[in-house]
Amino acid sequence: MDLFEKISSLDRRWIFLVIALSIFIPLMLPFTQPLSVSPDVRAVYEALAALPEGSTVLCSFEYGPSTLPEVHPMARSVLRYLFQRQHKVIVMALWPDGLFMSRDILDEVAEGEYQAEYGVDYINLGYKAGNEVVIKSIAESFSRTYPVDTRGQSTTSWPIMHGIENLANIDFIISLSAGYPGTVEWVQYAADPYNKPMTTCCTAVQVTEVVPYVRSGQCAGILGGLAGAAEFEVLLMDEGWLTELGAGNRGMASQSVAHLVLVLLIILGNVAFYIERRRQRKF
Amino acid sequence: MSETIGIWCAAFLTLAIFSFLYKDNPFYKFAEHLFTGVSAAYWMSVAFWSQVHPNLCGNIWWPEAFVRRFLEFTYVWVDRVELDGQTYAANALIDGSLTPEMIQRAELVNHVHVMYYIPLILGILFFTRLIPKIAYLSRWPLAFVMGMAAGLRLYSFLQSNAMEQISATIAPLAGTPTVAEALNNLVVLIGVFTGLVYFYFSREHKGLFGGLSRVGVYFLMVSFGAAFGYTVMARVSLLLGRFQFLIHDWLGTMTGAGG
Amino acid sequence: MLLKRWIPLFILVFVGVLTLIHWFVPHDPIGSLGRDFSQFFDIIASFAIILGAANLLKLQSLKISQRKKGWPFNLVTIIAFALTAWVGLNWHSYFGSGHHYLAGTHVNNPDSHFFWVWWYIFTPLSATMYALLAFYVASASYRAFRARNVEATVLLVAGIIIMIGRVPLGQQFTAWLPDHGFWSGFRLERISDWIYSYPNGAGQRAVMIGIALGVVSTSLRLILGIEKSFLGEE
Repeated sequence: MDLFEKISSLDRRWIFLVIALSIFIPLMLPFTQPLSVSPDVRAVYEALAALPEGSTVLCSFEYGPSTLPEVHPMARSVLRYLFQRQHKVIVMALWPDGLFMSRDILDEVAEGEYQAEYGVDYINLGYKAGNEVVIKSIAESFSRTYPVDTRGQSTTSWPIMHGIENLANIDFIISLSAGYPGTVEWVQYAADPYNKPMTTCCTAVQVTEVVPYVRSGQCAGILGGLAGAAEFEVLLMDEGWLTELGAGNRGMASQSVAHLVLVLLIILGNVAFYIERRRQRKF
Repeated sequence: MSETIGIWCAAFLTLAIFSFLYKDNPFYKFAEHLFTGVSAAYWMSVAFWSQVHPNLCGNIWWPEAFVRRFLEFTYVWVDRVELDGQTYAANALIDGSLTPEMIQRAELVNHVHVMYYIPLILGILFFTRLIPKIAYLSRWPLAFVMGMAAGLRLYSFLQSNAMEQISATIAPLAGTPTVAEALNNLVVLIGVFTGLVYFYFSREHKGLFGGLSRVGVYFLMVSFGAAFGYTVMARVSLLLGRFQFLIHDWLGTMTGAGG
Repeated sequence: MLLKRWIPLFILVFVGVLTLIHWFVPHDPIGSLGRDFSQFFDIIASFAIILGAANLLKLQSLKISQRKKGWPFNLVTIIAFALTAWVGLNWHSYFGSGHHYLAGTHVNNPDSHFFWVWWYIFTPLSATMYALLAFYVASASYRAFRARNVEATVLLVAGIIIMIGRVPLGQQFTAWLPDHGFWSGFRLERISDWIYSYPNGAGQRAVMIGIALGVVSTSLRLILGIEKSFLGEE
């Protein structure tokens, strides 16, 4: 068996090892490289920057632990920006585990970093089953859909909810999404029928699904995956809203090496394939 | 203490799943079956507390003695509390603002909505699937769900995914500011049109039609390539997340640096 | 026939038509009926989840009672289900004391046993299952991602450019090109952005419109009572 036959029939466990090392080594020996900010990430920032201070922003958490490494860094950066701009943040979840994700981020950012006051600066309405029907339902009434918040108190009793009857009173929607229900449903059931501006922070897998909405202007920009999170952090830092880069950029070293290794593997596999095919044609 | 045990437990389960990369083994099987059981019960509990308990139970009739006896369970069902000519929110029953004696005297107002017996009945009918003889009755709730989904999606898909997209493909062609943008918009128009030609199966893909469909295939291939690239990005990020957990949280508890 | 066919068909058509009208007529009685139906949908969906759990238990118990191969693992599923359901449904299930034992609030309280199970058992299992796919994507790409013809080559090239152009190390390959002007368009990140925005955007839009037309026609067939496959009919 010569080298090319060996390459073609390589045990997949060697590939697994190479991928594991390509993520592990840069994690232990991190390095930083300049990252360019894509137009869609800039569009998200511009849409948020255009909101007047003190606007009411609805953040919907539609992801769980399995996609936490991708969406959490985006959620963290976005909420940091919203609290710095003194916006009122209404948080809800269309995924049951989205509730825990929102709690985790709010504990860290709202309470830990900005000492935001619950019920005044932000509120967590929690999770409600029903997917897109929940969106339709809040388009008519928040208090009917969420009679109580995550603290078990009447939603309408909090100052932040005074004057917020339904989706019409919301200035901007941010969907933190990892699948169904998520960004697609927000576009279909809120942004389009009620003409509400929105943006999305979604997993990389969802990016290609959401991109037509971004191109048509139904969704203002897109933060996609860990790379989107890293770019948004770079942008916020350039604009003076962040003092240090976060988890998005910390992961970029491993992400870079893993991508390059995978590309090399694909090229190697193809070279072996061509040489094999040529040999077969000769004989 | 519970946190340390939790982190060790999470690390063991993470490694148990990763062990499948070497080959199938009892540790992986254990973790896989544990996942099935935990997730089923997790979803069931969340569904109960987020929908069945507040929205269904809160709208049907319960004996008042039961509501009063188990207030910590039933307070969500009470609309308001009336006492000595004053009205209180249901929270007053549990936040200490009313004494037990006052609660005994108070009138607990709870509106019963007869209509809510419909989802109760339909929901119960779902369980007929477990009894083969009358399993056909489970078609009733299924019909409700399907009717609702059809009514919701017909309009939303027509508006957001068809009309808006067609309009966004054609509209920018008029009044495009630069040559580069005009060319880009033309690329989009050609891509969308030829892509749709490819999906039109009522005519044989031959001649000009076949040529257009072939161009459409190339555009679709670029989309699939991009989708592949982004999928790789997503999966690598998730793997990175697990490695970060193992290195910082788990090994951190041993060195005292994390946790 | 009435119970098996006509009643479910009536429910489907009635609910479908009402939901459709509700988009255009938000006023009562359509409005309130539409809102109630939305709530009913949520409740019925929750029952479906509970049914799913019951079905899982039934299948697992069957395997145990028949002592099928690997039955002790099925026992693990049942025990895991029972323990999680106990901490999930019992609203007094907390670490420590002094909590407000209010029904349902334990589900999102970090001190509850339910939260512990979610965070230390459900989360690592679910996240690692997904993370495992990174290895399989790599292995499959290495073995099967071949430029056999023009279509496959287009797919391969687009995928590689996106993968390299979106990460900082990849962007360094063309970092020597100027930041502005004509040649800047050849920087990897710009090519990647262009592919992602235009040819990919066009392809995805064609797929989206195609699916939308399919969904609209299927929904219409359902609402008009033409599509009856859910009744087991052609």
